[in-house]
Amino acid sequence: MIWLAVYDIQDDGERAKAAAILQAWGFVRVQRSFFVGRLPRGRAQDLLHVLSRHVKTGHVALIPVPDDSLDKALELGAPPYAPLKPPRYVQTLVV
Amino acid sequence: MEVVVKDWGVSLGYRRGALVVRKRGGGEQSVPLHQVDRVWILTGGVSISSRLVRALARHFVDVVFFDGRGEPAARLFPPEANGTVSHRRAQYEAYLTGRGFELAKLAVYGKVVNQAAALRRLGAWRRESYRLLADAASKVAGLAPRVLACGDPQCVLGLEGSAASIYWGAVSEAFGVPSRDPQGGDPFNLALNYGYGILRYAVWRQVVIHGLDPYAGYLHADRSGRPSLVLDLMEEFRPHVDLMVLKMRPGLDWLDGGVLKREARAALVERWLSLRLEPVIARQVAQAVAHLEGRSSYQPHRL
Repeated sequence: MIWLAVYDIQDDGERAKAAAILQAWGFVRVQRSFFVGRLPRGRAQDLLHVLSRHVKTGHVALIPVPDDSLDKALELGAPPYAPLKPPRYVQTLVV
Repeated sequence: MEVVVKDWGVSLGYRRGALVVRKRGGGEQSVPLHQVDRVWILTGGVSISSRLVRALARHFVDVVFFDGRGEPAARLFPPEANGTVSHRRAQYEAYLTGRGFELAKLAVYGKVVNQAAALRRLGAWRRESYRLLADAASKVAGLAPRVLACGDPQCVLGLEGSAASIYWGAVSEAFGVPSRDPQGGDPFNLALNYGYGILRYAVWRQVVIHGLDPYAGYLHADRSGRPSLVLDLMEEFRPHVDLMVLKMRPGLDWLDGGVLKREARAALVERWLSLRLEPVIARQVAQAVAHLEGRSSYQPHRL
């Protein structure tokens, strides 16, 4: 399932922390305060719990959307950071 | 995602819900923990932090360590992963009622049938040896029904041995590979040992997940430290590994100081993962549990 994460946080430290956590969880930044990512069932609640420990002011929303709905998205201009559609997982990572 | 660590000097850590891979001489990669299905450690010189182990255990992610010969040396999993006691009770009971021996016989039957199927498939790969391989396949297939008629483990092991000698004889003649020798030091046998090690780990994992006791088998004799049930249940999957290794054509460039090179080990693991056999193994072990409990009869896996 694809999740959209949007926030409005005034505190600079909290905002930076929120962005770092979302990126550690595999979300990619589309706009300054708008991220998209894939999460397995039930994990969004865990992510919100982790965010709640660092974000004390402001508002964060995690919005589930069906996998194919981003294909039908209408856009004006180019996304400043990354495309709207989140990347797929790599199946095997050899290091 | 399967994380396969083949190089030494890699350290695995944990930061903000992600697995962080650091390599000696720079380079850092971060993988969200919810994307990680398993961590394979194929070499020495790898460090793993205790915070990461805790986080992986919480996510029910397996960490498995292999030694140079492909023996699964250790596996880290949370303590509650083996909680189904009723299955274990059924397993011990089946030893007395004979259902366990039935199961082991069916698994060996599956192996012999799969060996015949593998020979036919190899015949299609190598047309010039088709006759030889097809003849061996019919001989092996002829032994399969006799396995089911056996009344004691000795008879089953004897037939399994005769099937194996026909099978390996034909394979080594058709493909020009050395004959099968678990102690052999040539790349083909070492790669097979490694492949069987991976298979053993995969069956072991499912056996533990399904709450069975890996050491209480029916065909392989009880011996302290020998995972007899795992050995019983993995039989029917061995031909998959044989085909996988034959297809990869291990050569002398796979060797480094008498063991497989790290790249070769990682390639074997990658190929194994691409076969996607683990869901099949899980299904077969679940069927074995149903057989031991007397709910249904075991159907061997067909190649």
